[in-house]
Amino acid sequence: MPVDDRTDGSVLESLVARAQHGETRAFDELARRCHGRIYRWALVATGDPDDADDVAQEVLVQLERHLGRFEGRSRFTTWLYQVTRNAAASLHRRRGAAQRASQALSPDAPSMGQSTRWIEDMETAELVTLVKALFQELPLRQREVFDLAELQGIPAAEVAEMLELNPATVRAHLFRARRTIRTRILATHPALVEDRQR
Amino acid sequence: MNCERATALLLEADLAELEGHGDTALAAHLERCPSCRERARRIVAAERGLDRALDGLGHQGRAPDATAAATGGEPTSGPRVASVPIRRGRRAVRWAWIPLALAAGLGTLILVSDEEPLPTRPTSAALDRSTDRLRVDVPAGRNAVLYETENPNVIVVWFY
Repeated sequence: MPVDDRTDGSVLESLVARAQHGETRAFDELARRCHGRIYRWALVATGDPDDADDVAQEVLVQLERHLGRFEGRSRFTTWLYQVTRNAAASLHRRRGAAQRASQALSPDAPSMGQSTRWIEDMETAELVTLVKALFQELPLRQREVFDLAELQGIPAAEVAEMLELNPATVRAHLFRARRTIRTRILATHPALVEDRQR
Repeated sequence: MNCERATALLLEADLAELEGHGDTALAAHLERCPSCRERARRIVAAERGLDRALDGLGHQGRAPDATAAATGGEPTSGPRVASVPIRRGRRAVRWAWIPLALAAGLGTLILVSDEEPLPTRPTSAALDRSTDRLRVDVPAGRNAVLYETENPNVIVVWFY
């Protein structure tokens, strides 16, 4: 996600201030600019596009209701990320409760497991392998760190703030995630793996 | 540094180093070893592709109408209109249980959902079949969120 962090951050802060003063257009623009990243964060957290849709929808509702609570003590994106994480966690808890209830109501209820069809539809076999590795081999925390720090290029200090971790822990998660994903990348090219024995 | 050592470092190095930036032993090895340089290039290309794929999913028209998803909470002088595209094939599992829960009684509804009871005030909604968009008249002082269900003929409109 190639975003000029300084420009994007200052634009968002300006929109937040105007939206907090009641400017509807500013809020609409803020929601429009943030939706893509909210959806991506939700997708990384849930591993399912439909769940990510639900989470993103919920976050926009929360944004409208509680934007006034943002006091500017942290970056806006940090606050927004935490709202998204909480919404994803809430969905996970509700789904767990609903699943238990559905089993009580109907023993033959279909499984609520995640569909991987959206992964299989990706353009290349390598991409399918990588996305599967991302969601099936990385624990949630490593997946979050890998997406934020490695793929989106967010500095470790900011990632630490978003995830409420210390920077050293972020780096540790990042190294583990890199090792897992990159081992998978090299494994899809056997010639490269054998060649390193020289 | 041999290739085995370099490959071990490749698994944890920053992308900038894999792209040849920095004054490190690994960067120097990548400059002179075509095989390791190719491994680094593959890693960088694959991760960039993964980034684009995840980013692309967020921009595949999944963005809801921001106004429909989060209409302002301040009371207005009259009803507001939201017009949202219908996204077919979405799963809304928790809402699929509502008919069953209603048949089983209010207690069951509370069990399957921690949301507030459904509003009973009727409102108007009309489907424009030419554009496949649903028009929803939102009462003054209310907000609306739309959920599709597994039944393509059923859309749940939540007023709050």
